[in-house]
Amino acid sequence: MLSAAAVHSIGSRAGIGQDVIDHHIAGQLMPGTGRGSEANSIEMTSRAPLRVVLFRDPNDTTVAKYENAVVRAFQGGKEPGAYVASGADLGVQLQLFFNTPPEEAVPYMDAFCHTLVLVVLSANLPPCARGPANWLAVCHAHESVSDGRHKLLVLAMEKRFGDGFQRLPGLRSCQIDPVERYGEDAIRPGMVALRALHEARLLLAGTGTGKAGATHSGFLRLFISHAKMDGLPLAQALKHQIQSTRWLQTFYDAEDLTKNPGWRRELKFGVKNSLIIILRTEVYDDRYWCQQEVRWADEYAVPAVLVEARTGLDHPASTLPLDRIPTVRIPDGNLMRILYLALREGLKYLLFNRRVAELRRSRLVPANAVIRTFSFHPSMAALLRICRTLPAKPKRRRYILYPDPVLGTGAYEAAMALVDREAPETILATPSTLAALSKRPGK
Amino acid sequence: MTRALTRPLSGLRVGISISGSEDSDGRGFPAWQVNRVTMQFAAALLGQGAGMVFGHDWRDDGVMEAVHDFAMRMQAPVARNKQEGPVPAPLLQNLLPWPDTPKLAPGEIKRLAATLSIKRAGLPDDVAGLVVGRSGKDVKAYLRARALTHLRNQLVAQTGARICIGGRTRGSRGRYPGVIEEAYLSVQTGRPLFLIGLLGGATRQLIDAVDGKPRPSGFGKTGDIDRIYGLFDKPGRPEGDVEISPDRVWSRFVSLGVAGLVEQNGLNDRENIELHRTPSVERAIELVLMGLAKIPKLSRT
Repeated sequence: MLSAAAVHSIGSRAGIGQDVIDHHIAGQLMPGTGRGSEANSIEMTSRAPLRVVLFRDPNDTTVAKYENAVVRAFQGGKEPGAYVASGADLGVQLQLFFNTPPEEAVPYMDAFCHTLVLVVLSANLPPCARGPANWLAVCHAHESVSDGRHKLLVLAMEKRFGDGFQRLPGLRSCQIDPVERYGEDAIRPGMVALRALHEARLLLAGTGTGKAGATHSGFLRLFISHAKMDGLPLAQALKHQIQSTRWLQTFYDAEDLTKNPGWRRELKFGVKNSLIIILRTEVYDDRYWCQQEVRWADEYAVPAVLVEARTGLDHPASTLPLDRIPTVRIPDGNLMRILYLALREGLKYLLFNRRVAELRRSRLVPANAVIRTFSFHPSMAALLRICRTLPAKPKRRRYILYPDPVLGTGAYEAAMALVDREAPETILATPSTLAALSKRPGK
Repeated sequence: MTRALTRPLSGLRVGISISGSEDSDGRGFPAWQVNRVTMQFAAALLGQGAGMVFGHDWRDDGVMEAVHDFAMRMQAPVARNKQEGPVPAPLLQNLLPWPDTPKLAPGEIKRLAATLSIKRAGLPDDVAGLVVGRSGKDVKAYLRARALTHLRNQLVAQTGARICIGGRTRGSRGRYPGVIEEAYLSVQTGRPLFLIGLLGGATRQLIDAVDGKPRPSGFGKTGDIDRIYGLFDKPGRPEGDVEISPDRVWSRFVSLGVAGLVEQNGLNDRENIELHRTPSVERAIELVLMGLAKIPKLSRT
């Protein structure tokens, strides 16, 4: 946590007004501000991993496309059923504002492990009233000292809106991204959503400053599983597409899985940084090595994306465990669609890992417990493998955790029975189940 | 030994009073986000085996369809014969206030009967005669208001706990805003009550009462309901369901305090205060489930 003098110094150099600096210092005195004080904050209660906050003009129909794209990226859309449709909703809390939020900016941002604030500047945002601008100025100052814990991403529908925003007190040093940088008009909302997913991933991966190369924590490698020569052109095309987008090239790469003999080890031990892309062509299901790759990915709970490239009009039922994998088609050649799903799956993994860390922190799970996690509903094969990796005679409590919502009738009972038989005394649960099983003294 | 396969909150029926408030939008939750919050709570409760009781019909916003779709995935299968055990109760129960009739066709209701039960709450006995004897705007308003209280009494009786989030503070057709009346009746019957402040509104007002804060002007008032009740109530001091006293409701929550909530809902005082203040839906759900976990099985319906 910075001293008041340090904050004043940084603020003055950044052109932030005195009132904004004082407000920020007052905020820093509150618990839970800044990464350094995380360990002392909020009396060991668990915090949700990520909140996305979107400032926009709800009456601007052009901006609505961006809003809808961001909502779809994080929550699967605005329909009520999106939350319970498997995998569509990432479980991220998303709040939308036009005016000033009711809470102070610093505690508001610190109430979650990470906060991503998106601002879409258009003719009426921020409105003439200073409220939201002041709030965002404090937000910007807090982001600057949060050591990568929070992010403010400001997009301008037109350059002049960005220029006007930067003239407001405390916002001179705020970086503005004109939306025209995101390609042609038709694809901009999707690319902005992709950017939002990317920034969210970086927050969860703990990347304070972007470092080049495959070793820094925000990096994600996409291994392409394919039948014979089908996949090579896709790997090359995807790699080229990533390299040609400035804000992607440092963090993403695509690789032909068959060219990397160590791919299993890299996926197994670097799940945070890698993911499988399955290029399902007509012959894929019949290839022995493709079947092995899919089954291995399932048993080791590797995040995956399926590119449906079969052109036939009918296909027999498959024996491969592909149901849990989100699917994309690219009849128009839009490779960014693959990256979009890949980022969502990668983010889902990071979100759940953070959730589990918070469960330990809040002691819903004992600190010394043996935990195995899935970032999606596990298959029976994956559960069986995990059970057999657990110590035979446990000295510590054991948990197998997967994200809410809970398994449905049938699958729930089968999974419980399997775990009970293969790893007795192991608790198979979601975070909600842990809370519902909680017997801590409450009074 | 095989562990029990029943979900942790099986046998518990929970009432949830949730709706947008006048300030939900200003808190970052437009109407469709309020629907999502509803879905999150529904999925959490149903996923843990709890049943849910609603005091309204299917609406056109798609929420009930989504809730029902999820409930079908969680509903225990019907036994093939009586020896395998009793028929599990439908996870969803809808009670409709008079004079509402189900929007679903009878065939649909029958088809969904394994997961959904829809019943009409009717009118209290003392006003049933008014339906036949009189007509006019005032009598309809009176009967509707009495019907809503009658419904809410049944909702409370059929649930083992109540969760309140948001809720409009004005414009209700009952004697009090819906969330306020449902919470009040829960407290009067000693049911565990969970007050969640993140959507503001009527629940926020109740939290302020519990915290001993000043009462907002207009608390608990709904239109000219006092005048309408006065037209039909028997002479003498109104009591019970015909009493309209926002003062009494506010005082009840003031005297309840956090300590009173702690007595019933399984959370300690710090957890209750956190529930009132948390901005996180996920954390609110976690706290509610922790509290519900401590409700004795004997209290489950």
